[in-house]
Amino acid sequence: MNFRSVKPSQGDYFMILIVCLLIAVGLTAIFSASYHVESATLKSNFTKQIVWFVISFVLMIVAIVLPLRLINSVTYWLYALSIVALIMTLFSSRIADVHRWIVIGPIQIQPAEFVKIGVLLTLAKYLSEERRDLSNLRDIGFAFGIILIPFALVVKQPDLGTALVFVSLILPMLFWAGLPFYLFFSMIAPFLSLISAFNYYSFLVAMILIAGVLLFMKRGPRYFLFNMLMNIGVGLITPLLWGKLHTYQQHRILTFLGLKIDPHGASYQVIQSIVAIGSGGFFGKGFLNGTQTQLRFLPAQHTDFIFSVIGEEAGFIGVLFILALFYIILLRGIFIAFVCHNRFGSLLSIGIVTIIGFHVLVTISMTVGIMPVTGIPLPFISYGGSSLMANMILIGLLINASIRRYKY
Amino acid sequence: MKHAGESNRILVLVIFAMLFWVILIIRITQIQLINRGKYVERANAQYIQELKLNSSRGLIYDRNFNLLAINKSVFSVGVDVTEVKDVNYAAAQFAELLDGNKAYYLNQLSNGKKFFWLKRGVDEDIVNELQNRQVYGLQIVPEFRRFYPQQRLAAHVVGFTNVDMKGLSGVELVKDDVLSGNAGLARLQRDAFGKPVADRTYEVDEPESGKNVVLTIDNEIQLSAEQELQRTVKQYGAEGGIVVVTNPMTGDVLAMAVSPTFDPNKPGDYPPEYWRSRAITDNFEPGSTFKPIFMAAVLEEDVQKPDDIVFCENGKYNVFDQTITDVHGYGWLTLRKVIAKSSNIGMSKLAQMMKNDVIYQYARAFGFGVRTGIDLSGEVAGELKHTIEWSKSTPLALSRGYEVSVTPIQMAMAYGAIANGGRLLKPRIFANEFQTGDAKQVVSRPDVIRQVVSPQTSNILVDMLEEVVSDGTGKLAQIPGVRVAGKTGTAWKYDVIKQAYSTTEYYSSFIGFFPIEKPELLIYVMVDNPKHEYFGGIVAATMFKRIGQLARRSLALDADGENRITEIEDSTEAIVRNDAPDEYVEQVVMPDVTMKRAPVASKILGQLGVDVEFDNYGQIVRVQNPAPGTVLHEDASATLTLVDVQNSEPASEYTKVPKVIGLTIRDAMNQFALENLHVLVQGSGKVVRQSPKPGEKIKRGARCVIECEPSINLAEYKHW
Repeated sequence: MNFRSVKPSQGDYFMILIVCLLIAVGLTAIFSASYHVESATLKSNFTKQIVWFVISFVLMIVAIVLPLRLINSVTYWLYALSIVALIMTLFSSRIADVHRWIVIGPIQIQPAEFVKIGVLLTLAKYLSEERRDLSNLRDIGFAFGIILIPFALVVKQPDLGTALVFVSLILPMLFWAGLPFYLFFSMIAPFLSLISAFNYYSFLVAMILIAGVLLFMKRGPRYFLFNMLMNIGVGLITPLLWGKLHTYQQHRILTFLGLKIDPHGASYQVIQSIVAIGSGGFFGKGFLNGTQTQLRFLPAQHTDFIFSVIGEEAGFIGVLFILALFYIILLRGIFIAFVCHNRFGSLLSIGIVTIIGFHVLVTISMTVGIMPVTGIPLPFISYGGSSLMANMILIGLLINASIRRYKY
Repeated sequence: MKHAGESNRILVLVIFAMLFWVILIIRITQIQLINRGKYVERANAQYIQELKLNSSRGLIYDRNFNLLAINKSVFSVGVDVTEVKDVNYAAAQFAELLDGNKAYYLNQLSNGKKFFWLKRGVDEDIVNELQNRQVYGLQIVPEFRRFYPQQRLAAHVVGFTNVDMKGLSGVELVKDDVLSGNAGLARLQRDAFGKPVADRTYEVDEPESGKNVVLTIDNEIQLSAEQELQRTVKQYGAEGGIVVVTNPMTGDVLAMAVSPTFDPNKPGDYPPEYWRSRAITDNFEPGSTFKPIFMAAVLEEDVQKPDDIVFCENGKYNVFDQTITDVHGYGWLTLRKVIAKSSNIGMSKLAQMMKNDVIYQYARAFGFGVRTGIDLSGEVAGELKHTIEWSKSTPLALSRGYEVSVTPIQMAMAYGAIANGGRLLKPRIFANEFQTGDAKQVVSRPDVIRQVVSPQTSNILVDMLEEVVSDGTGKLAQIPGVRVAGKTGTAWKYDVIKQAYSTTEYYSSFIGFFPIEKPELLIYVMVDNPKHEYFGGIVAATMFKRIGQLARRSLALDADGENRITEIEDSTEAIVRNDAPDEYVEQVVMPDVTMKRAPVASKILGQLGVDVEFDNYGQIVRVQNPAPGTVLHEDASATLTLVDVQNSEPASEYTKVPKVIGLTIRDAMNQFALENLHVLVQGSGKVVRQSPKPGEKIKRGARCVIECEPSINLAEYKHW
C-alpha cells in the first residue's frame, strides 16, 4: 500500500489523549510543588510549563506530519548535529557546576534531551538497512559505536543518568532487529558479572551460571572461551572502574546497595521521597495538602522527585493511574512496532518505547528507593521544556510510524 | 516488521515491560499501603514541632493568706549599638539607672560589637525610665522572676529558686512539682527550613499553672519570733539561735526562725551556711530540757511516783568515777521538785532505777534518733545510741540530756506530746494546696504517729513543768494572764576539736507551752553561745516570754474557732499586711478585671490605690495592662482598654487576623486580645512574621503565632 493512500485517521491518535492526561497530571503536580514557594522563578514554573506544552504540541504535530522517509534521509545529519551540540555543551559556561545546558539568550536548552532522538533515529536507520547482518560482530560493534560517542560526551558533562538512556537503547533495539540469542546472551552476561563483582562468592556463582548457559548454547569452544574470559575480565576491572567514579556517584550506588547509611547525603533525598509517598497512603493527602511537599521537605519536587508529589497528594490511586497511563503507552508502542511493516518505523517504535519506559522505570524506582538517584526527569510530568519537547517529538514519531506502518 | 521468531520476541518485550511495572507496583504497595504508618510517623516528626509553654509558678501563702512568694515580671535589657545615637549620653544613662560605671558602658558601646546585654531582671520602672530618657536601640525581653515580698520572713521555710524559677531550697524545692505545674505543649508546623507555618488545626495543650501552696506558718508569729530572736542574739552577742513555734494539738509549725538569716531575693549575697534551716538540719545535746522526757519514762513505767522522794546528796554526787553536781545543793526532793529545780543528781538517781532498754524505748518513742518527717529537705535524725553501745554512765548522762543529739523540731514535737495528752504528732508545714480561683482554706488535721505516754502521765508532767515556771528555774518565762508550763536548759557545747565539753560556751534553751488547760502554742527557743549570761532560765526564758506574749496577741486577733479553719473569699485580697515599718514594702498584686464593667474595674483598682487610665471608648474592659498577677508598686497605674458591649460579645464566631508586623510584642498581644485571639509568641523583639496572614478569616479563640526578632541577630550573642 502506498503511504499516500493511508488516511491520517488510521494512526494511533489515542496516544495523544493519554499523553495529554499525563501532562495535565504533571501540571497539577507542578502547581502544587510551586504553591508555597516564595521564589518568583519557581512560582512561574506552572505558566512556563504551559508555554512549553503548547510549543511541544506543535513539535509533535510536525513529527506526525513529516514523512518518515524524509526523516530517514536526514538522520545521519541529525546525528552529526547532535554530536556537535554535545561538544558545544562541554564548552558552555557551567551552571550548577555542570555543563548541561546551552544558553541562547534567555533560553537554556538541554541538548542531551534532543540528542536522544538523534541517536535513536540513527540506530534505527543503521539497523534497518538491508545489508546489516546481526550475526556479524563488525556490524554489531558499529551499532555500539553509534551509542558510545554521545554516551561518552554526556558522561563528561557529567550526567550519568541521561548517558545511561543511550545504553538502554542498544539491547532492546538489537534484540528487535533480530540479534541471535547466543549473541544477546553474550551482551547480557557482562552486566551480571559486573553486579556480582562486589563480592567473591556472588562472582563465583555468577561465573558458574554463565558457563552453564554458554555451554547450553552449543556454539563451540571459541565462543565459550571468549565469553568466559570477557566476563572474568569485567569482574576484575570493575573495582578499578569504581575508583574512577565521582564520589557522589559512588555514594549513590553504595547507599542504594544499603552498604552506606548517610541520612543527609545521597539518601536524604530518597528518604524524604519515600516518607512523602509512604505517608500519602491509599487516597493521598489531597491536592495542596501534602505536608512533605508543601513544607518543602521533599527535594527537587517539580523535577526529579515530581512523582513523590503525586504519591503524597494523590496516594496509591494516583500512582496506579500514572503507571497505567505509561503502561498503555508502552503496550501500544510495542504493538505499533509489531504491526509496522517498515523496519525503520518498527525499530524506531521500539526505541521510543525503550526511552520512555527507561525514564519512567528509573525515576520512579529512584523515588521509591530501589535504584540510585540519577536525576533524570519523569516524561511528560517533570517540569522542563527540553524534556517535554523531546518526549512530545518521540510520541509524534510513534504516531507517525503507526500512520505509515505499511510503507514509508 | 518481518523476521524470524518475531512473535516470540514481542512476547519477551511485553513480559519485560510487565515485569518492571509489577516490581514498581509491589514496591509502592509496600511503602504506601503496608508500611504507611511508619512513614506517616516520620513525616509528622519532621514537620510537627512541639513547643513548651511555660506554666506560671504557684504562689506561697502563710496560713492567713499573706503572700510569701510571688512572681514578678521583669525585663532583660540589651542594646542594639547600631541604633544608639549618642554613645556618651547612653552610657551615662546606663550607669545611672543600672549597675556599673560609665567607662564600662562606653567601652561596650564602642568596641565594635553590634549588640550587648545590659542586665537581666530589670524592674519595669527602670525600663520605663530608660525609654523616657530616649535611649535608642533598647531591646527588652519580658520574663518572670520569683520575688519574696516579705524578704527575710520565713526565708528558711520558703526557700528560694534559681533564675529559671526552679526550686532550690525550702518549700520551693520540696513542693517544686506542685508549684511549677505542668508545662503546656503547642504543636506547630515547620517547613524544611525551620520556619513556622500557619496552622489552626492542632490542639494546644494549655499549660497547667502550678498550685498555690499554703503554709502552716503564721506570718505575724513568724515575724515576732524573728524579731525577738534577732534582739536576743544581738543583746547577748550570741552566735545564733533557733525558734520553733508549733500548735501542740495539731502539729502545725506556726513559725520557724533561724539566726543568722538571709534574704531569699538575693541568696547569693549570703554565705551558703546561712541558707540552712538549722531547726531541722542541726542537732546538739539538749541538756536539761531532756529531763522531762526521761521523767515521762519513769512515771509511765511507774518506777517512782511524782511525790516520791530522792536524795540529792547536797549538790555533789560521786558515781562511776565522775562527779555530778547541782547548781544549788539539795537534800531530799520530790520528783516534782527534781524537775522544778532541774536537779542533775536527782535525775541520776532515777536513771539508776531504770532498765537501759526501757530508757531507750521511751527516748525512741518520743521521736529521738529518727526524723520527724517534716516536709522540708535536709532534716537529720539526730543521734540516739543503741543500748549495746552504752557505757555504765550513759543512762545517767541521758537523764540530764547528754549523749543524745536532738534537733529543735524533734524537741518541739516531743514536748508537744507532753502537752497534748501523750500523742507524738508529725510536724506539719503545709496547710493546703489550691488552684488560683478555688476556695482558700487552711486545713488542720493532726497526723498522730503514736501515743507515747498516757494522758495521766502527760497531765502529771504538765503539772511538773508548770511548777518549773511558777516556782522553779523558769520563772522569767511567766506570761501574765496565762498558765505556762516549760523547762529550761543550759547545755555545754561539745568542742569537737578538743574532744571535750566547753566550760565557757553553752546552748541556752527553753521550751514551753500555754495555756496548760488546752495548749495552743508551744515555743522552742535556743540561743547559741550567749555571752555574759548563759542560763536558759534567763536568756531563753525571757525570749520565750516575749514571743509568747506577741503570739498570743496575734492569735487573739484572728482566732475564731477551735479548729482554726479559715475561709477567705477569692477576691481582690492582695494587700500584704505586716507590722514592720520600713523593712517591708507594701505590695499590690494586679487583679484580673477583664470583662468587668469599667466603673467596677475602676473601683476595684481604686481600692488598691492603683490609678486607672482608660484607653478607647466603651463599657467593658477587654485588655488590662499590667496583666493580672503582676506586682505593682504603691503609686502604680493601670491602663484598661475598653470595648463596647456589642463588640465584646462575639457578634460573629469569626474575625479577621489583625496586622501586627512591626509592632512590639505587647502591642501585638493587645491587638490579638481585642479580637479574642490567643497568641503564641516566638522569639523576642518586634514582630517580623505572623501567621495566619493579616486579614485572614479566623475563628475567635483560635491561636495565632507571631514570630519576633530583635532588630539584630541574637544568635550571635549566645555566649551571653
